[in-house]
This record gives sequence, structure tokens and C-alpha cells, in this order.
Amino acid sequence: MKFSAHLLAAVAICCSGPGTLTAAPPPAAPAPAATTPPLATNQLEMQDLLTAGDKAFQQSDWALASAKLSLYALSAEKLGITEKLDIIYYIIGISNFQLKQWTPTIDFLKKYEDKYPKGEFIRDVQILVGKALGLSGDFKGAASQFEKIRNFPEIKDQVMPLLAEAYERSDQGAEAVKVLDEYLKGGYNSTDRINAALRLASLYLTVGDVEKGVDVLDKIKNSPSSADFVIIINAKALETAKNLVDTKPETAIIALQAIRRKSEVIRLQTARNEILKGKIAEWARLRALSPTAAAGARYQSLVEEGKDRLKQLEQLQETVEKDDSYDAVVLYNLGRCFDKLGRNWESELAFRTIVANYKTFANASSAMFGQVISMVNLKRTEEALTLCKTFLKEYPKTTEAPILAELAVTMLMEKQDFEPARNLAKEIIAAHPDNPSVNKLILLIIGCDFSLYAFKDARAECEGYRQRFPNDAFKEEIDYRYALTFFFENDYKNTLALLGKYVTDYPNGGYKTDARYRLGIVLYGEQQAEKTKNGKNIKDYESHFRNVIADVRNTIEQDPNSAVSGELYALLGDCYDQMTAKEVEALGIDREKESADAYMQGALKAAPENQEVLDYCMEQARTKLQATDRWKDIRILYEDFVKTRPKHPDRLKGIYWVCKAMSREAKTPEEKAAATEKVKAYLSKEILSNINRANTEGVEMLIEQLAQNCIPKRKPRALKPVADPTNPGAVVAPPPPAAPEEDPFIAGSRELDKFLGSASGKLNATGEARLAYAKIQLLKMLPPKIDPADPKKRIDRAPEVDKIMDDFGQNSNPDNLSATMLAFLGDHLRKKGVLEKAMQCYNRLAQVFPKSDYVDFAYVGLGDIAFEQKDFPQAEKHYSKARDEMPGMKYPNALLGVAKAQFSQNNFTGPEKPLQEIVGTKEWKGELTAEALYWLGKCAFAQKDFAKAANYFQRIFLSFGKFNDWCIKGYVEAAECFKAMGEPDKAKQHLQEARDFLKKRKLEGSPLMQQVKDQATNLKLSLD
Amino acid sequence: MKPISLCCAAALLTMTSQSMAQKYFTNKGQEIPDSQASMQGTNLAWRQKDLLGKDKVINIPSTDIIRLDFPMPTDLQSAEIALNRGDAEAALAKAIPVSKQFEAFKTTPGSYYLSATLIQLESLALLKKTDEFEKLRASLKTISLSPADSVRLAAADALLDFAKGIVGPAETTIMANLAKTDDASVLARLHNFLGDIRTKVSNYKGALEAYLSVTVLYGSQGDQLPRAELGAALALIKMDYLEDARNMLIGLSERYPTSPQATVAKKQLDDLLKIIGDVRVQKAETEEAEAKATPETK
Repeated sequence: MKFSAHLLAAVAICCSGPGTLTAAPPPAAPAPAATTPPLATNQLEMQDLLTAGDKAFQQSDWALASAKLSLYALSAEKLGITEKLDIIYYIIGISNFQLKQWTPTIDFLKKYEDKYPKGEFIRDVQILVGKALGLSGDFKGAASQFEKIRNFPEIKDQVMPLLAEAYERSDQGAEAVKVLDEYLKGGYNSTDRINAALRLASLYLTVGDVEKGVDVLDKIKNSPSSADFVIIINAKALETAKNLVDTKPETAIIALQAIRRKSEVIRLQTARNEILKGKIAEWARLRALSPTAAAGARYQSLVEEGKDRLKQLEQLQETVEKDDSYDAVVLYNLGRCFDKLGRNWESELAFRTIVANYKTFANASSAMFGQVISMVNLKRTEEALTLCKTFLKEYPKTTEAPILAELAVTMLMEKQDFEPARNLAKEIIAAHPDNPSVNKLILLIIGCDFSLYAFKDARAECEGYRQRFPNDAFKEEIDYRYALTFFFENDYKNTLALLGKYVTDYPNGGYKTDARYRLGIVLYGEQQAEKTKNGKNIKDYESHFRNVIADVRNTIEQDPNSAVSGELYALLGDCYDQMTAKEVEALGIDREKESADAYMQGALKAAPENQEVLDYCMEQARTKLQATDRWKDIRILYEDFVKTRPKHPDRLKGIYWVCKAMSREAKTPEEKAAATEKVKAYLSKEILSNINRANTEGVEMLIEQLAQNCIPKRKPRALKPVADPTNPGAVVAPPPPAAPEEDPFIAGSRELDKFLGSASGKLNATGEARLAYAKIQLLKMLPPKIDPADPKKRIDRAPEVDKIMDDFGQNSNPDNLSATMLAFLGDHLRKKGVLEKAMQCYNRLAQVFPKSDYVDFAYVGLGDIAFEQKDFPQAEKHYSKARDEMPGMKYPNALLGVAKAQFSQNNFTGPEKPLQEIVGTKEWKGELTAEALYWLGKCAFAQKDFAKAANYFQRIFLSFGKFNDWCIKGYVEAAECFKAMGEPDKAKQHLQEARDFLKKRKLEGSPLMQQVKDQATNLKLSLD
Repeated sequence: MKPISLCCAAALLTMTSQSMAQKYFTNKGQEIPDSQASMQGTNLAWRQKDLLGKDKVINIPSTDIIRLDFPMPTDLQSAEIALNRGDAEAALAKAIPVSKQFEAFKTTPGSYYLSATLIQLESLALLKKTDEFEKLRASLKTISLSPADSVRLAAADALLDFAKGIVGPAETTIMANLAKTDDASVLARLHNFLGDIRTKVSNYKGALEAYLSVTVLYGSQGDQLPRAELGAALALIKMDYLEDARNMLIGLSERYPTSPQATVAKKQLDDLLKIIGDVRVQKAETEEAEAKATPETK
């Protein structure tokens, strides 16, 4: 028998179908034979049946082949012939499969499966049985059949998608998902797998597990074979994404990103269609070459099927081609998703692309609106404003227009551009008088007028508003604002009248408490004025702030939680402060207590957004509470501050005050010890929350406070032995020798380690640096060491501090340091001449922490380095920046720096102003003042005003004797002045005094003495 | 677009994308399965059995092969992915065998020679292997390229310019070629490259625009997104949009946690957080602080 070649061809056709169990309608069943042909009874008849069946099979005459071979099989079974029966069953099965006669297909192939489980074609047979079951509509049977064979590696890839389909069609979606999941673990690297993945995505989406569905789509997108399915992926992804934009934008983005652009889709699909056309041509060629009509028919059916499918694909492609908004829809939805996720850069680009390229897109105006909003969120105000104007011009009638009109004006107001804001609002109203936001625009105009102090204009707008919108919802606001214009113009008469009217007209008005507060201010102002009038007889004058206080208290009582509670209490505090002594006496009150209480309440009640009131009340309250030793109240005040204002930039300062108050509250040694422990625990908790973050300022302040609390308390001295007065002759035992006291630095460091947890490994490089900083601060705070050789002597710790600082400088990477540490280390390194690293510190401080309180350290430090390197213009630039743009702790140094740099560039008049500012500021009095005097002297000398110069130099050693260097400079320079004035004796006298000054301080051998001698030589004077 | 049934459409497409048979087609109508063929010099050796069942070999000049029917080689796919991720070494290693496999059929329809060679060129440019680049580039001079391949060749030229420090012309070349292709993979790569060029000349705004284009306009190129998002975040840092950069870096490391860019992003994020703080940590702490009372001080 020569079955093989035909058999393989037929099997190929059966097994390589479209991989689906979708049944095509079976052909009309052949008419039943009038009579069942008799079974063969002998060898000859058997051979005839076999020959006829084989011939029919070769000619693809499936019906005849099935009939003859079925008869052969039944005869053989009856006769007990088993030879080649396996192949016969197989061919009968295939023939019936081709005929779509599923029952005989299954029957004969099952016989094969049962009788020949190790037969040559067993796997093909098993697959065909499953397919036939599925195609007959028995999906459960098909699933069961495929389950049996799913784990055979050689057919696994073929079986798994079929099994999944069988499950899906038998309503076992969950099982189908499991099968496909397992199948796709092998990757998405073939079209078959992509096909299966699309089925999986569809299953997920059907059951509502969109995230998994989109995840599969994402994997499909990233598969190299995805191009084959581009049009389907796009359609599915867009359909999915549209349902997710509002609810799950992050998932929708993944789906939308799977979508390719229209031009690419068309190109790829065109290429796929060309491939299909090639296949159709190939099938047509094979049809022509087929030796038999039956074989040709098979190819003919493929050609027809291919043409149908090509037509459908071309129709799909045409739909895409005709859709002008294909890309715009995707971009619009992407823009919306990005916007919802706060990814404004991306949303702006998505919307901008639509605005630029898809003007006819139905949602073009919404896209432009989205672009504006994205720009606003990105604080690209100028661009947003320009686009707002374009929007209002292009889409004046849209629902977004009034929103953007208001937005544009508000943006300008936020930029403090009140004049342009007002003008823009007026322009919009003039151009679009019917814009529904005109009333709100007028309110914004009034707001601008207030900010521009144009109160008359504001009143005019209010009057215009009343005429235009007499019964508008904003009438109350207009009335209030109108009255308020008089308040800001200090027109107290009209203020009292109109704000009073407001309070009467709107007993439950939204601004009632605010109005009453302002009325209180007016009354307070009146009392102030009266007090000023009676300034000469102030001791006898009895003020009447009590009236204001009564009003304010009443206002607070009526609206205890108003937005202006802080302001009301502050006013109350001010009233108590301003009372004359006579009024205080008349009322019999403790003024300090009353005002402190009022300010404290003000701080506790100040609205979060009202920073100024809060700061004012805190400062006033703390000062007064501190003055009266009310540490408990200070603690309560700051505890509240820390608790209720967790984002306040001064929160750590608040913690500092809480701790300080806790320490000060304690009175007895036991309370003090307990307080110290609590403070340490509290501080360490707060420090550890911030220690690793270099950008958090104020941590070092707490660290210093912790270091202070870690200094061990000195043990009480042992009492001297006292002789027993009753027994004067008795030998008094000496006290036991005291154990040598541990160096407080070691003990304190141990405490710091304990509290800041270096051993826990939780500190990053910044944290470690801060711990080192804490120990430096500890060392700096310690008193001089006791000399072990002579307990009466003290050893200065300065060299120790210097060394630990050097180590810190060597071991620290500026990239890990906070602003405070950068400032601190930069200055140390500069003084030590390690200029490169000092500059690194300063530069990082300036660049990374531009808003730090310490940033002026950077510019002054850089100025100092430039000055030392004699780059005076650069030095002046740095100093000036520190002085003008970021005046802070180094402000006096910046002034001095500017002066020095100017002097060094032969500008002798410019330095005078900054130097005089230093000399004239009492709070800065010290070495800096001495240096400023020196430079003032130098400037005067350079201008040949020797007397003035001598005076400045003399002031140095007369007032700043403790600064040896500057004193000697003063003497030496003064001597030169007198010499220049022709008074050599005075010059000599100054140098002699300098010599004596040094002798007195045992500094004869110092370089300072050499300066004196050099000057004597220079001036040709003898010191003898 | 009218939605179509997924299963129906997938089945429909399967027909157009059946696993390819890996065949050579001759100008005489012969179909030669790859399993029966091997290259002998410039000839294709076709192993057959004669009527007696003995092995015989027919040598067919490669010029007689008029079409190839091969699926995209896995190595070529890997090379493309590696290049998209910026791993030029890996891309080169994967592309070379493909070039060699199809070398005899440089311009034959269905050949993957050009695709592989263009990846090789881009990789060589990125690796600054100028001599090898020039040699390979010269071999393409006689080949007529499709518009899409011309763009890729121009991109390779621009890459080499960039590698040599010739930045201006590189940007001009890229810009001139953007409109010449609609291939999302190429466009995404060109935009990423444009971002790199602009970053180099400190045009951070332009760089940001280029990188964001990949995310927004060519998001289908998943392999290229981490690179684009990292580039965009770094540009934002340079533009002082530190909080936006932080959010982008966080998003990048969450969306593509295993990408090499995620590693860079995390490092960059650490540095950035020192400057502007970690909003997530701060938020958690704020909530904690709000929930808890201040310490017991009495």
C-alpha cells in the first residue's frame, strides 16, 4: 500500500487549519444508501475494497474513500484481520474530517486511539479527535481530549491554543486563561503566540480584569511580531483605553501606547495584504498544477477563502484611511491620561500636537484647553497666557472659554502683574461681553484695583457691577469690597458707616467677622490717635482701649473659629500693650499676662495661610512668656505649632523651643535630669527623621541642642575630711581617691552615638556626616580640659577641635552635606588653605541650596578666596551678591568684603559706606569692627587725610585691645600717619606703645613684634 | 473605527502570517526548503534524493534566487531590541550572524541583510568604531535603498558624526530625516538620539521635547521608553524642574524596574531627594505626625 505521500498531504491540511474550533456548516449529508453494502467475506473482496479506497483517497474523493475503507475496516474486524488496520482507521478519519462528518471521524479515530496507543500517528489522531469534537460543538469533550495530550512536548504548542479555545467555548473562561497564561510563558515571539495573546487579552477584558488585559496588550506591543497584528492591536487597545481613561488612566496609557500611528498602520497593513495576495497567487498556481480536480478544488477553496479575507482586511484598512482623526483620538486620550496622572510635560505635548496638526478634530478646542491647563500646571505662565488669548479668539463660544478667561486673569494676578491682569480682564469683557464669566472678571478687576491701591477705580467697578448685575450672587461681596475701599484709604468715617451697614445688612454674611475685625482696627486707630494727642500728659491720660477689647471679645465670642481669629487676638494683644498705665491701673489687670495670653491665643488660632499673623503672634507671645518665665506656656505654644503645622518651614525651630522649654520648666535636680532624658529622646527622634536628608534645614540646630544635652554633668566634688572637734588629736582618714573622671567628650560622644544610632546602619552618608558634626559641636561646647598633671591648670580644646575639623574635612564628600555643614566646612577649609575643597563646598552650597539661610556663606567664602588670590573684581562680585541678593548671617562680612575688594581696586571712597555701617552697628561690635576701622583708616590714608586715618587706627587699639593682630596694625598704621603729618615723635611713640603692648602680653617673640620693628625701620625711627 | 471581533480578526490575520516555511524561490519556479539547502560560496547547494534514493546536490547560483520566504530571525529581533535599549555591543553581536546568513542575497526580496547591516552600522557608530563603520558603509553604496532604509543609513551617519563630536550636522541630518519615515521604531530611536545631541549642546528644552516625543508619539516602542524617560528627567533637572524630574524618575523606576535606566534613575533620584526631599517620605511622615500627639512632656 502506498498511503504515505497522500496521507501526509491530507494530514497537513487537517492539522494546519486556522487553529480554531469554529465549525463551518457541514456539507449536505450524502444521501443514505438504499441498502447497506454487504461486508466482504473473502480475501479478494477485501483487496478490491482496499484498492478502490486507496484510489479514491489519492484522488481526494473523500466520500468514496471513506465508504470503501469503512467497509474494509468492518469486514476486517469481523474476519479478525488486523494488518494495517491502524492506517485504515486513520485514513477513514481524515476522509470524514475533510467531509466535515464529525461522528464517523471521531468514531474511527477513537478506534485508532484505543487500539493503537503507541501507533505511528497517535498524536495526529488525538489532535484530530479533539478538533472534530470541537467542530461538532462538543467543546467540553474537545477540552477533555486536549487536556489528555497538553503535556506532550512535541505537540504542546499546537494543543494549548486549541485547549484554551475549547475551554473558552465551553464557558470555562478561567481555565482558558490559565492555559493561555502557561502557553505564553514561552514568549510572544511568533504569530501563533501573538494570536493566542490576543485571545488572552480579550478574555481578561471580557471578565473585567482590565489591568491584566492591558498588560498582555503591552507585551504584544513589545513583541517583534506585533506588526503582523497592528490593525487589530490598535483597535483593541483603543477600545480598551477609552473605557479606562477616567477610572484607570495609568492602565489606559499602556493600552494607548500600544497603538501605532495611522500612516504606519496603513503601511504595515498594506504589506500584510501584499503577503496575502502572494499566497493567494501561490494557491492559484498550485491549483493549476493539481493533477486531479479534487486536489485542485482544495486549492480553489483556499483561493476563495483568501480573497474573502483580503477583502475584509482591505475594508478594515480603508476604514482607518478614511478616519482623519485616527491619531488625534489616540493623542487626545493620551493627553487626558497624562493630565490625570499629573504628567504635565507629556500631556502638554500630546495636546499641543493635536492643536498644531488636527484643527478639524472634534475635540480640538478641548485639546487646546488641556494644553493651557498643562502649561499652567508647569508654571509656564507666559505661554499659557498667550494660548488663553488664542483660545478665546478661536473658540469664544465654547464652555471652556469663560474658564480660561478667568484663568488668564488669575494667572497674571498670581504673578503680581495686576495692571496687565486688569487690562486683560477689561479686554476680554469688551471683546466678549456675553461671556458668562463677565461678573467674575469684574470681581477680579476689583481685586487688581485693591492690589494696585486704586481704590477709587475699585469703587467705580463696584458701582458699575451693581448697575449691570443688580441681583447677582456676588452682591454681598461687592458691598463688602466697596466698604473696604474706604478702610484702605483710611477714611474711617465712611469705613465705620459702610462696614457697619454691611454688618447690619448681612447679619449672617460671609465677611461679617472680618468686617467687625476691621471696625475694631478703626476703633483701635482712634484710641491710638487720642493717645498721641495726649502724649505730653500721658501719665495722667486714661486711654479707652477697653472699648475695643470689649468689641473684639464679643466678635470672638460670636464666631470663635473664624478665619480672622488670629488677627482678632493679635489686635487684643496690641490693645493691652497700648493701654496707658492709668487705664491698666483703672482696670486692675496684669497687662503683661493679658497681652501674652492674647498673643498666645492668636498664635494658636491663626489661620494656616496667614503666616504673617502667626509669626507676629508667636514672636510677641514668646518674648512676653519668656520675660515672665512662663516656660510651660512656651512649651504648649510650640507643641501646638509643631503638631498643627507639620509643613511649616520653621517646624524644627518649634521643636527647638519645645525642648528648651522642657529643660527650663524643670526646677529640681531630679526634674532636670528627667527633662534632659526626655529632651534627648524627643530630639533624637526628630533628628533621625531628618538626618539623612541633606536638604532639610534646621537639623543642625537640633543636633547642637542634643549635643548640649549630652554633655555629662560634673560630679559633685568630694568633701574635704573634717577633723572631729570632739577628738582633735584623732587621725583624720583621707577621703577615698576619686576615680579619674572620664573625658566628657568621650562620654558625650557615646551618648550621641546612642541617640543618633550610628550602629544601626540607618544613616546614609549625610547622616554620618551629621553625626560627626554633632561631635564637633559637642567638643566645641566643652570647657577646657583639666590638666591631669596639674588639676588647677586647664588645657585649651582649640587644637582638638581643629584636628577633628580637619578629619571631618578630609572624610566628607561635599555632595553629602547639608547647607549648614557646607557653610561650616567651607569656612574651616578656607581658613586652613584647602581652597579647592573649600570652593567645592561653597559652589555646592550656592548651586544646590540657593534658598538656604546659609547661602551667603558661599558667596562670602568665594569672595574671600578670590580676594586672597587677588582677583579683586571677582571678589567684589561675590561679596556684592551676598550683600545685595541674600543678606543673612554673613551680611557684615559681605559688607567688609565689598569694601576690601573696592579698596584693592583703588576705589577709596566706595568702601566708606559699608564700613561705616559695620562700625555703626552695635550688635556686630567685635573683631569685624576692628577690621572695618582698619580699612576706614586705609581709605582715609589713601586719600591723604592722615589725621582722619590716624583717628581710625587709634580707635582700634583703644577699643579692641583683645585683638592683638588688629591692635598692632592700628599702632603701625597710626605711626605712619603721624610720620606723614610730620610728627615723627608721635609716630615713634605709637611704635613704642606697640612694643610695650606686645611685651605686656609676652608676645615679644611673635611675628607681630617684627611688624613693629619693620615699620620703625621703614619710617626711619628708633624704638629706643 | 468599527470594532471587530477579536477572535475573528485574529483568525483572519493568522492566515496572512502563518509561520513561514523558510524557502528559497528560484527564477525557474523551484521552491527550496531551507532544511535542504546550504551555501557553497555564492551558490545555494540543494540536497535532494535521486530516483534511486541516492543523495544528490544541485548548485544554484544565488543570482537565480528571486525571493526568500523566511521569518524574521530571532537574532535580528534581539539586535533591534538591544539597539533600542542603547546596548550597541549586544546589538552588533546579534546582527553580524544575520548579515552573514543573508550576505549572498543582499537585495533579494525577503532578505534580512539590509536590516541587519543597518543595525550593525548604527552599533558601530555608537561604539565609535569608525574604520569598521566606513568599510561597511562603503559596501552599501551600490545598493539601492528603500526610503525607510535610507533614513536609517542617514541616522547611522549622524550617529557617527555625533560620536566624532560633530554635533550640529548630526542634528541637521536627523531633523531632515524625521519626516521621511513613519516607522515608529526608527522615529523613536531618532528622537532619543536627537535628545542626546541636544543634551550634549546644553539645549535641554529641545532635548526634553525630543525625549517626550518618544513617550507621547511613539509609545508603541516599549524598549525605547525607559531611555526616553530618563533623558527627559535629566533634561528637567538641568532646566531646574526638580520636582517634575523627581516624579519622572520615580515613575520610570516603577514602570521599568528591571531596565538599566531604572538603576541610573534610582541613583539620580537619591541625589535629587537630598535636594528637594522625598515627597513620599514627607507625606507619610506628615500623616504620622498628624496622627500622633506630641510627646508626653509632663
